[in-house]
Amino acid sequence: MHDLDLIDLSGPLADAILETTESPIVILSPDGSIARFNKASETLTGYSAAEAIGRKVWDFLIVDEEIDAVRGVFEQTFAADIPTHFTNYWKTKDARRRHLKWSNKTLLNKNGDVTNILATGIDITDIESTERRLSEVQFELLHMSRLSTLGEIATSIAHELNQPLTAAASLIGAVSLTLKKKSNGELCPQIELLDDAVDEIRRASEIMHQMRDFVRKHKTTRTPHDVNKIVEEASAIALIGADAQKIKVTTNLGNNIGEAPLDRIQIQQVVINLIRNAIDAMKESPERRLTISTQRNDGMIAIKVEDTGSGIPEELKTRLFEPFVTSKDDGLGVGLSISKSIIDAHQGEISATNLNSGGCIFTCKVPAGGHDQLDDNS
Amino acid sequence: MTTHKSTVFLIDDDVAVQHGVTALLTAADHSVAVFNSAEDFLSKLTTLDTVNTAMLLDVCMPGIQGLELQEQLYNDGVEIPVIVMTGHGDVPMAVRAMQNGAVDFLEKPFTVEEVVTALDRAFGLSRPIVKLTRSASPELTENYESLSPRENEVLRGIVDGGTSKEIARTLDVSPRTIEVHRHNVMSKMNAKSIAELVRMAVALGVGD
Ligand SMILES: Nc1ncnc2c1ncn2[C@@H]1O[C@H](COP(=O)(O)OP(=O)(O)OP(=O)(O)O)[C@@H](O)[C@H]1O
Ligand SMILES: [Mg+2]
Repeated sequence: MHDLDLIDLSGPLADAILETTESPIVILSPDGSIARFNKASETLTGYSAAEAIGRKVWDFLIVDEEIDAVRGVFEQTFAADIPTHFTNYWKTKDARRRHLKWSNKTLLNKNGDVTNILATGIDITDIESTERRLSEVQFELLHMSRLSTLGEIATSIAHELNQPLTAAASLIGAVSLTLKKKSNGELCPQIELLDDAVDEIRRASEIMHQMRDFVRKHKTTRTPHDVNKIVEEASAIALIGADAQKIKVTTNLGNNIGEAPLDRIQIQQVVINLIRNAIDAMKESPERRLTISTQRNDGMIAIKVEDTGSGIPEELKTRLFEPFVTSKDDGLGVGLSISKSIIDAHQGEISATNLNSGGCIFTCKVPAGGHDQLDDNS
Repeated sequence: MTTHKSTVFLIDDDVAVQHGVTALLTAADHSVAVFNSAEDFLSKLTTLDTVNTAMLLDVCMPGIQGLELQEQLYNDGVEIPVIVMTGHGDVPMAVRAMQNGAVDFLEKPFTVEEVVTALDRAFGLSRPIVKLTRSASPELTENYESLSPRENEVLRGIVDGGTSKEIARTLDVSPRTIEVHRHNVMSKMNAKSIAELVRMAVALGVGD
């Protein structure tokens, strides 16, 4: 058995640990009242130790809807001498909610009686919102890239389907014309029916083309965005798994980059395409360095993605930004063409240069600017 | 009655379209010669009688595009009036074809009236291929000058091939407003169809 005297809750060692850690730690008495409330707990909640000690946690810290659950866990922890994990919400002195993940441990005296509960927490509020944000962004991007592909498909379907519709309308027209001649100007209801049929075929064609236009010219809404933030978010997604491929990433975001009127999701799509291409290009490279940077110059904001990969194959150089140009077995060759149309729509420029040292650098430039040119959303 | 029965050269790569349009034109008392592509047509051109003919040309085909065929015919002095067929809403292509000398354009799928009217016009022309340049009549010019600045912008937008929505976006007003302007433009210009409006615009040199 270990020496229980080591647990001296007010000794210098305990003090040092409790007051320096960034984790909120509280020690509770069997009745639920607070016996110790460390510095991190004070910072988190806004209550001082003096205010907290002696009060029961569920009387002021636990959010109303969770009071019963917390009391349950509390009793269970006392009953069984095992660490218990759970998460709950605390309300701070200024009425904010924080989400906390707890590990609880019962403390026993020499006789084996439970004297206290030591609860060590982690504030997961920010982590959670970042995670949620990330998965939102990921979802939107997925949707976006589907839309782009859908746009291509919709265009070719519209064309393909329009041909049989044209054939059908013409055939019906032929019959209607023949009937008209035979009826010698007399009223013939069949002709009207046929003409109605042609009208319906035209309607089908129009609907189809509207759909194509809708998907293809997927509404871009440009609002002022912090370019560095957009690049950071996009990099986070594109670089998932980059560690495993031993890629050394340097992010070099300039100061005072400021805002530009952008469609956030579209620009992130561009950054992701460029980073994924760079990662692909470095598969065979002994040295894998990826540099993502931003700069501001003459009213333009530049986003650059540089790699130490294979460089752009000579034969692709002139067609790089055209659709379906690829050197990859599993590539569609749409990444750069989509990126170019997005940057064009932002009145920007995208270019690529091979580097003497091997590898290449892609640069996108978009006009900087704050609150201007918002689209008319209908 | 003409000595020659009028013949329409139909150039389209889709077999079903060839079949349907041939039936329609036959019912309208034209004889029809079908070609699968611009190349197909050019290779047989020397054997064809081009008197009293017109061409229905799909501008969206693989191989030599419709526009290039027009260019070649023009350079070779072959005077066949050309009516181009475009996909729905592909006005920019139509505008280019008409600048290239096409007499009209039809949006697929078309009605009997549209194709008959276009062909009647084509066959009635004394000089079928006149590259449409600025050849506006005084009346047309007068109509054009009666347009308000906004209506003028809308006309440009239409000729550039914009849908109401797109024009609305560039001009920063609602699509509904554009519909109203579009209607006013058509009536002030006395145009019965977009094709006619485009023809007028090209004659006026709008959008050059
Ligand atoms: N950073 C790079 N280094 C070397 N070559 C590149 C780079 N980026 C693009 N390329 C070349 O350009 C081609 C086209 O790129 P693009 O992103 O358009 O299509 P893809 O990556 O092949 O396929 P996907 O549609 O999946 O993006 C690539 O196949 C590759 O040959
Ligand atoms: Mg790619």
